[in-house]
Amino acid sequence: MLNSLPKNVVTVLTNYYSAVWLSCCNADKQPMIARLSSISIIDSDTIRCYIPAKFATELLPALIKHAPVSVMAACTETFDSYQVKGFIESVDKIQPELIEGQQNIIELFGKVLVRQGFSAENLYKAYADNDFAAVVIKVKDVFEQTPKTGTGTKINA
Amino acid sequence: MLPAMQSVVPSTMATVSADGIPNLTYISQVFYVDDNHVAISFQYMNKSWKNINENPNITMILTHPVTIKMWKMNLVFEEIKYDGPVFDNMDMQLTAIASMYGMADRFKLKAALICRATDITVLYDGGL
Repeated sequence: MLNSLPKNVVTVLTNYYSAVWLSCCNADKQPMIARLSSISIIDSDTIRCYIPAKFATELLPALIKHAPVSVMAACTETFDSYQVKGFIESVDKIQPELIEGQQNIIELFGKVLVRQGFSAENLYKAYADNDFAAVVIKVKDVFEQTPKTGTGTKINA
Repeated sequence: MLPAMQSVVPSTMATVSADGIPNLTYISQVFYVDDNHVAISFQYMNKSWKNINENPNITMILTHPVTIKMWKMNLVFEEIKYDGPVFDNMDMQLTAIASMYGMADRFKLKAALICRATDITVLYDGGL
């Protein structure tokens, strides 16, 4: 059982230069993946994930309350990565006043990756949207995911 | 699609356990085998490998490094290879990729997972 998200995990989950992904599965046990625009921390064991609508279409029917879900965040500069696993608390459309904030985060992410040779404009076009889904997740476990020996180790063991 | 398999942008892979718990990981290399098969590099997989043995369904997201065009690929795991031409080619490519990032010690190939592609969908059509 998770008491609270470690500080280094929160940093990687919430930094705009992290690449963040969410996974769940459909009724046929086929894994499903969506690229997230960002993650925010609600409290010590609850996070909110924002999914650009264009990546959420197929996923939304599988995002139901209490469904198991995993979220992976990887720092694009250090490769530090963590995966959190838990259960869905709620799924809602984002409030309109928060859309611009998500678009700004995506723009910043693109600018960071310019240093690695990617096109900021193309990254922005790929990930930005005019609508987002907000998925609230109760986190149960946190795993080390950095590519090294020991990856997959449960941090809150 | 082949540029998206060259690991400039790491591919994201999801697997699901028998009881429906998903797992995500980055994959260093997705190798074209033939028109119906790819090979996935096996390096640090723990939970993913356990899941694949319980449920062979795999979903991957591949990204073109220039246009950021994205594909979703549904795969079914068929066999694991520890040697042979596919393994050797992947090992050679992976060594080159790892050298680029100064991470040769971290990127040792343990095996190649041969998977059949069952569906490929364009998620985003690219920025160009």
